[in-house]
Amino acid sequence: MCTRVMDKPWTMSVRMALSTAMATFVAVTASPGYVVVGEAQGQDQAQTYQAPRLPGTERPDLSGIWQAFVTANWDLEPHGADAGPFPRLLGVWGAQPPGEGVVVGNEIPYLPEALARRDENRRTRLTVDTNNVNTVGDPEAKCYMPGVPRATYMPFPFQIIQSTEKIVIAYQFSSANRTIPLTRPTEAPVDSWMGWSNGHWDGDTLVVDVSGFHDLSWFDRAGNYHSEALRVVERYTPVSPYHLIYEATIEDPNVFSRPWTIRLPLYRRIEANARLLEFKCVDLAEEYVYGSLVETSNSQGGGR
Amino acid sequence: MRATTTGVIVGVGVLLSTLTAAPVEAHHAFAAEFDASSPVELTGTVVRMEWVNPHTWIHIDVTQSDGNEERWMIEGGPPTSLLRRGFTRASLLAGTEVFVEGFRAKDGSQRANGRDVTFADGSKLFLGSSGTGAPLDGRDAREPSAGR
Amino acid sequence: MIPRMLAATRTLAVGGAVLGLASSVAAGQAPAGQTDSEYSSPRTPWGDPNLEGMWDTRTYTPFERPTEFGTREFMTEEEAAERERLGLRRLVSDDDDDALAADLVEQDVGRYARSDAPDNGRPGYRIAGAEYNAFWSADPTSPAVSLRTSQIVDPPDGQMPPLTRDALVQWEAREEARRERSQADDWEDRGLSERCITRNGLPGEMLGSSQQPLKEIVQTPGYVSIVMPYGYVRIIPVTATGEDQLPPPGSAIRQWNGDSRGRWEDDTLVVETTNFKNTVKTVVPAHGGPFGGSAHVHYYPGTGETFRLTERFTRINQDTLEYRYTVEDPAVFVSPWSAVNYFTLDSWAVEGNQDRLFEYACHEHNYGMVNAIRAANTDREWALDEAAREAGIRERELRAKQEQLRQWEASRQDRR
Repeated sequence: MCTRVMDKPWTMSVRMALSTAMATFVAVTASPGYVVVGEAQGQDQAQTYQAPRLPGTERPDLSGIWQAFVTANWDLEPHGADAGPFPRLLGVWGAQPPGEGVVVGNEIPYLPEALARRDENRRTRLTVDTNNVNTVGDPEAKCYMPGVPRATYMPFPFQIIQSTEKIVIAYQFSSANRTIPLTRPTEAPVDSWMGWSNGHWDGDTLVVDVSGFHDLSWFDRAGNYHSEALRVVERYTPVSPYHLIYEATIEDPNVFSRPWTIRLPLYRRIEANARLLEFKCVDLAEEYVYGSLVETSNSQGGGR
Repeated sequence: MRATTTGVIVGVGVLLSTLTAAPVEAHHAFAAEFDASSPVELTGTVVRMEWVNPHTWIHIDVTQSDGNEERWMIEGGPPTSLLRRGFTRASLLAGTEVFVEGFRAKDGSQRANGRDVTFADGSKLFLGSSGTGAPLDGRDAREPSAGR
Repeated sequence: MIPRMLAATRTLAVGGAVLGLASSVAAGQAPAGQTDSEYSSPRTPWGDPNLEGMWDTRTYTPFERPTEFGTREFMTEEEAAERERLGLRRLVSDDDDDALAADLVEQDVGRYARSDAPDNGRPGYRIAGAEYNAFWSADPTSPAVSLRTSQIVDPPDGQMPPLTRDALVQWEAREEARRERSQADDWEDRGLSERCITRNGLPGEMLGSSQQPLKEIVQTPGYVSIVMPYGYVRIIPVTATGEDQLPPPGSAIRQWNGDSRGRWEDDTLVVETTNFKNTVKTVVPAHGGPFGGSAHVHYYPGTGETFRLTERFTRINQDTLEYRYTVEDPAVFVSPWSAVNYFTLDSWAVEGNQDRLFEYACHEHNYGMVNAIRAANTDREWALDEAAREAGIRERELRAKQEQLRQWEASRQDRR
């Protein structure tokens, strides 16, 4: 249908207007219902989509390579375009893009005494202290594991591998990964960067309860952080063959006055040769982490 | 120069040695970090334990003869076998007194390899069932524990 | 001795008779390690062979074959028992926790006693092998026992083939480049595992150790994933034989663990991996390459560009996966070589004591790297001495490998 219309010698602008109208028409009538992220009724409409089942189960198969397209990794809260670090060296490569944020209600509800730490984090986000190698500065810059939920909205793909009793999620960034049993929930024996995940289903929504975190990871480059008391409850809901809606409710009574939620879409990577490539960034970060210890560096690091 | 390590030798029986599966993993990093000609003996209280890889790190406060407290980092072995056997962050609580024999970091910092780590009475950490003196160590490693 | 063997059998109760030593393998059955021809793999609900499970990938089997076995791939049960009697196969764990405690105390005393002998007058190596209490390595289960005489099954003598002249030249060049460097002038002087980049690479990391005995296989339609204990997941896209397979990525894409693509051949998963990376500029002291820190090669003497790894995973009974692999790298080895290992379902996990692999956070807590560089800054002469000592070990290995190649070339000349 679209092709025949496009054969006509329309002018460019008319063509574009028409194709937009056509796309909307198709979306509204042929698709299971468009979704408005952030509005409650969007969720109800999304529930009308029935994802194919994983064979042998009554559950939707969420397997695939997914990626978020938000700027939350810079800042979970709404943020304007801004200079980034070292503009003299990096130009616009390092600039912060604008973004409307992913926090429901826009503001992270810090306890008043906890907010100062967030601002201090932001001020020292590119500081390295070899005596406090993992407690000062943004862990992302050192290629440390991003934790949850940050791993979900980093600008890198991840892959969901769903089996009948377990789900593995593998993230491209620093090969971070986690295993989510879907049967009996268990307790974290020790803290970890990616937390300890227990999964269950709520209809067609995968719910993952994550706790047992270190206090070492950040939520974004703006210095938003948490303590060891962090608990994250994630919800992955398929709303089309190519979209999941991701929500994460964050609870940490040491830092926040109440639980708060982020929400964003996840897009399926549909390239025929889509695969998770390796981004083991340790060797890209060593000069940054250890360079101050070395008097005359032999490595090839430096601005390139 | 090194004090004797033995706590208790019990029983007779076949001497078992650490699993040697080819390929052998030698610990070359010891020679790069620690100075085997600088043995240390430290008595301290546990502040926290990092259950990380490939070495755990136990942070302890050591009271010096002049009353000052020094914070030391003690490098332990890998955590995986202990985690499999059911030990958790609750197995070595803050405030527990430990005795460490090991070797100091070559750079002179307050870090040491924890070659032999015991409780004050000489019994080893992370061994056996209750009775070794550690709080909350009464886990039978074979028991599927509640909540796991 | 008997109680120990019974304990091993008890631990191996789920391991099945195929591998058990004190087992009920009757005369006339297939030699240990071979497929029971009646067995066919269970299937996933989407019809693929089911290889899922928490697999214990440790072994007692030596990498290369002891010469007394010649070209025999399997030893007899009597020979295996004799090896245990002589202490050539050693066990650390027992599921009696109190006996474990006593044994480990004994172990520590014994190890420290053995280590107190001086080693070339260098105190740093007096305690090699006894750096930590034995309880750190005491796993609640024992690996299965196989009657194989070696992991390597091809060449037929069970020995790794000689390295090529090009590889030896490259090795020598790297040694030369290291001559002025201490053991930790910067991070590149430490091995890849100490930098927390890879542990032993592939295929070496497919073998377990006392530190990391397990791997977990989780499948989904079109993929087999292997959760690796050293902090990553191998994701293998799999197609049925003859269908379109994902093409390898372009040659500019090089990865520490290569890029894998799989296909099913009956019940066997065949995985081909290429696009390996090796940008190590200088010789690394240890844990540097795909051969698991073997005594022979501390790092990979090649660039990875010509390295092709082919692996075959077959479930040969309910509790056992046969893992067979072939290494081909004409720039490094004079011929391809193959090895076989067995993975057994981890009884500890089957009993419900462990439902996932634990996180491997290495780089995030790499105080050791800071310590090592600072140590070399503090006393560079000492750091140069240690580097020279390790270089001496590698020098001896290099000479042995050069001699091995000379003999191989000579024997080929003789046959002409």
